[in-house]
Amino acid sequence: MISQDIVFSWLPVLAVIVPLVGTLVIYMVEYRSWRLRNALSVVTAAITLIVVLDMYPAIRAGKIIEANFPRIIPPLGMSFRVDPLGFLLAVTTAFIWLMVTLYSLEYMSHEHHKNRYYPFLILTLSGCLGVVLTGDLFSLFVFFELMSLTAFVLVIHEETPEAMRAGFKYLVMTIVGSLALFFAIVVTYELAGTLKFSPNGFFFDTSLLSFLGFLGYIVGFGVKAGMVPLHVWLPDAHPVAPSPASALLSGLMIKTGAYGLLRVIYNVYGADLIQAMGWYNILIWAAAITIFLGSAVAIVQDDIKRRLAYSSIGQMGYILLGMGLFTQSALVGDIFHIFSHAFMKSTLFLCAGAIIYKTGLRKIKDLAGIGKKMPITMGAFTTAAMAMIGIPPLNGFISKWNLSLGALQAGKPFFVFLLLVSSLMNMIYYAPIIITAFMSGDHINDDHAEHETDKKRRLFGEVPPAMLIPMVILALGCLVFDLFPENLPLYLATLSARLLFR
Amino acid sequence: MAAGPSYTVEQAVVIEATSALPLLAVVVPMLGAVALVWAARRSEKARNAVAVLSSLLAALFVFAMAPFVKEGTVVFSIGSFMGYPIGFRVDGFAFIVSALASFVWCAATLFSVEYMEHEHARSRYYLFLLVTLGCTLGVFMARDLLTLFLFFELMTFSSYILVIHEQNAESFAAGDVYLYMGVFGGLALLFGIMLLYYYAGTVELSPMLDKILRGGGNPYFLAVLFALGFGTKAGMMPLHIWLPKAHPVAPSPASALLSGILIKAGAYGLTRCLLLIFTSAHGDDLALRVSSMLGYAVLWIGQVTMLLAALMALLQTNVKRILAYSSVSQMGYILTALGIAGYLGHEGAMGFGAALYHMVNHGLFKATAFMAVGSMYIRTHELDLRKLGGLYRRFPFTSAIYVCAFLAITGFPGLNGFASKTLIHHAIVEAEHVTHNHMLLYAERVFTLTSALTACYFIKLGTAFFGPERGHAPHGSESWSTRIALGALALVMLAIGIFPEYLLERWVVPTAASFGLTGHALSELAHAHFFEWESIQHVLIPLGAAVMLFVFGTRFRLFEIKPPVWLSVEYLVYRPLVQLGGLACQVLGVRCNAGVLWAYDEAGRLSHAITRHVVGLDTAIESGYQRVAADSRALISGATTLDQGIDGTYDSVGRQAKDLASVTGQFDRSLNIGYERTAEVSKGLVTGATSLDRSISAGYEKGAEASRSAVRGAADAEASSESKRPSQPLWSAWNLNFAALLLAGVLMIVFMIFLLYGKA
Repeated sequence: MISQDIVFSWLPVLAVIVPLVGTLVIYMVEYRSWRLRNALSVVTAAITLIVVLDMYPAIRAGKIIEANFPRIIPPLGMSFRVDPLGFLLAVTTAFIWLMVTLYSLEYMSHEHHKNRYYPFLILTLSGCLGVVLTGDLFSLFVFFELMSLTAFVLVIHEETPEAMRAGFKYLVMTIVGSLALFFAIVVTYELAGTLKFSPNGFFFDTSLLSFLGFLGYIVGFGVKAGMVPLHVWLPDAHPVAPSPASALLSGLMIKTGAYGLLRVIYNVYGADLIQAMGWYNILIWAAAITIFLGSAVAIVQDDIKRRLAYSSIGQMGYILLGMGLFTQSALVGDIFHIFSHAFMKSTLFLCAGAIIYKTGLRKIKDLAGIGKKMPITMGAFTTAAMAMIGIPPLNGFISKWNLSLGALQAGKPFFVFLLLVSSLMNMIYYAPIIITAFMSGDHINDDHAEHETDKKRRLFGEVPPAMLIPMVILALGCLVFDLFPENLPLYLATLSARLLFR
Repeated sequence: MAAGPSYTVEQAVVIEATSALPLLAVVVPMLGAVALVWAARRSEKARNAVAVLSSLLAALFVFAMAPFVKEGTVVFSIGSFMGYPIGFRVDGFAFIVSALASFVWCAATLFSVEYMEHEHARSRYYLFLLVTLGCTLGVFMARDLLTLFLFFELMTFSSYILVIHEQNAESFAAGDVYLYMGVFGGLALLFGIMLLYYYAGTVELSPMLDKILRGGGNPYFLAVLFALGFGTKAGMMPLHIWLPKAHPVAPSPASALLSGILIKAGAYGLTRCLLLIFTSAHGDDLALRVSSMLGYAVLWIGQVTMLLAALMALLQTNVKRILAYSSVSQMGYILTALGIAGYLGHEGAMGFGAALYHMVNHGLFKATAFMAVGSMYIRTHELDLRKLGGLYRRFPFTSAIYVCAFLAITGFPGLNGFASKTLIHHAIVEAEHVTHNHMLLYAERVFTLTSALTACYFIKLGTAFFGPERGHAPHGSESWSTRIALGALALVMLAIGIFPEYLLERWVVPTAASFGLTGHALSELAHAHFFEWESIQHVLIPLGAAVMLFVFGTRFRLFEIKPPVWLSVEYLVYRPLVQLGGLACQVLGVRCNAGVLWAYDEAGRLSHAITRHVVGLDTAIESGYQRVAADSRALISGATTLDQGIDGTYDSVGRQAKDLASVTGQFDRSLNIGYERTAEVSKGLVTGATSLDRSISAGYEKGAEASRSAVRGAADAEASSESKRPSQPLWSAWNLNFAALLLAGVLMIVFMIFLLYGKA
């Protein structure tokens, strides 16, 4: 068993406050100078990342950081608690946010309403970090709401009728989810008298009300996590948002739903209770449907961002499945997949964004030969897509391996089969994009297309480095950790799994 | 015949030498690929040189391991992946296939120099050629299944680029089948590896059958998974469908490598599974029975594969398709031999030796055949056998090479195929002797028949070179690089063919021993005689039959029969499977999703309708209120009117009353006047009476005066006593008795105290 020293630190509070203050500052200066606004956005994200990284020594030493403020919003109070799970997610969030902010500088340069975009981008970071750093359900709920509502502004950024409709759908579903969550939290407080996460759960009630509370959590977090049949907002909202925002929505924000469920299962109800009552069955079968449905529907999409959005649904199924299997390996794979999918999917969305930025093309069949014009972008895309399919040694393989082993240990080989079928389906919907991009195109009608090609080459070409660098870094993130003898995210995932499930 | 003492070497005496050579062999081609990109910017020649040199260097590193491997094994650990240690381990088996791979790769790369001159995207081709080399060597030299899987997947993907090199519709279609089958196989393999890890707790390449059985695993299920994984790559029937599509569309040197080497990765994996993983370290009965069963199954799968593929090859007209089906058929030979090895268990040395030997030989002669055909293709641009002929006049060198390959594959003495085919035949016959399983007699007949068919389709292929001249006349002749590549391969084939015992004794027998195949069978393998009449007879009979079959077939146009499409495996199995999968996706995925979306839409619409109804209700209530308000307003106005009427009435009544009052007033006044008059009269009357009275009164007053003064004294006294009485009312604050109040208050407090504290 790992020693569980608890230390007090202001760092988690600071990590949440820095972007909040940053938002205010950006809001105040943005009408004077757009350069300062852009610089401040990046600096805020960078400082946040540094603050989060500062927690590493304590986490590495096996300590848990706590900071309680019972006087804020009495009687519940605010509390922060950072264990390896929260830390892993916080670092991932802060890092990808920084990359996406960097990417936004160039991508958003031709968009309107930039003065609205940046403050909300940074404000959402605060909410997102708050969710993973808090130590009780109430604080989590507060930040969860902050994140959900501010993300609405990112979703509707384009303000097209389509975007407004998708945004409305997002808003309605979010509110429904929040209400379910609120109900569940009220039930928990009523039955247990506390909302503070505790290592093995604090909840020993098996009444119907308790079950309804659990359902409330599943609905509340499931909406955010894109669990079928609560996923309907996701394939509309993710594609209409600007690509960097899609990357954040698909890469990070839907993970907060999964994170919340992890906390509810392991730190509120406790694994024993959920296992004893068999409530996990809801979760794993919903996950199974999610996996299959997300992958199957992704195959028939012809809009690249919609395909990626459905792929996200399928991948969230993996994560929901992993937490319901109750084996150490599955949990390791689960947590690692939260990390790895964040990298993969944000890379993919950023690459799709780069293509849209440069060519305005969104249909997959129009992407013929794009790989020759934008080799680095499509290279990054290919890396992330391969990771998605689960080709070793990319990180998607590691999560799949651990999840599958977990399913075997849980005595449920069907889910291994499902995971592999889903991998094949991932292959079926990612391979054509890559093949179309790299292989078809100008070779087939070389002669008369020569002139055309020249024109296109001038027109297209690679995106500016300000967009390339974040994409490439994120794509490398799918690979580099796995090449080192000690895979740091995997180590943290293992540590978290051991803390959650023992 | 020198009895090799090496076969007595037991497994236990294996010396493990740590050396970075395996890593170098894998990494050098990959680095070469990087250098190639750089060199491609300089010049074509520099790029070609880098490609050839990299493959040569890789081959050198592989061959440099020979002395270590003779002593034992070469191991090299490259760290860990996901916490599992990964690395390389080269034993005899791995070394033989790696050496074969790197050598053939060298030749193919050299051959590519001329072949690719007229192709597009040359740099990409060389790049992926080298990457695939690295991956293939990685597969062969992997220490454990995880490392193997890692390189296996990469190999599938990098070789895909070689398959679709032409980038036309046909190659994309073939490439899709190749890729999806490859990934499917890879996933099946992954499932197998995961199950194996779950049961046995390790991914090492070691005997694990007893661990699986102890762990409660179903070895047959596992074996099916591994067979799906490696069998797909090996072109095992019915998983071979990608092979006749993918191999012909690739550029010829790539086809040579795909057919010669890459499918050996599948055979390599199957061998490792059947003879290593699915054997038991302790040799209990159940485990022996299981591995024997698996071997038997592989044997018959191999038989079916070799016969059917040979028949299919005979019916093709595309030169490269013939060779591709021939590869499937030859894999059938290897599987048959492998199956025998598995079937006989520890006595399976002959089968294993035959399989290994045939892997090497097939790699050599099939690569040679593909390259010979490719060398013709770049000059004729024709692959249709019906339009080719008489090439030997212009290209005697390539024709000679083709003859070598032809004689090798038919097992003609003096070329390498003879040795391994003889061994396979020996193995079948010996197995029949050992087990008395008469089914194996059929296996022997299938073997002979397939040999005849093989010879026949190669004769048919030979018409391109030696048949009557057809089509347009080709031009040019082979370049030196092509000649070197083809010549080197042919020389090696000849060398092995003339000295078959060398490879057998030096390499095959020790390797068989390292697999734990011992005893009588091993010494029999070591002492196998090749150049005996009986062996030669087994080659010449099918050859004769083949010639007759060819003459007969050509005369009766038997080779032009097209088998019906519905009979193909693709049509019978794969298309329904794919359609089923598509249907499942469509129904369970897309339709379900649409259903969910519909449900949400309906819910939205329903709530909208409800809202509308509520709004309607609200409007109705409001209008009700308004109506009530209007009514009440009317009521009020009515009431006001009534009020005014009443008011008016009162007014008029008042007026009338006033009138009446004024009339009454006048009457009153006149009455008053009457009274006043009367009063005046009576006043005068009274005045008279008064003056009378006054005079009487004055008289009385004087009498009363005296009595009044007497009474006054008494009345004064009484009045003074009356004035002393209190004049205030009774209930006044001044009347309160304060003392009594004080007392009452004290009593009250006491009472309260009693009341309050009395309870306590």
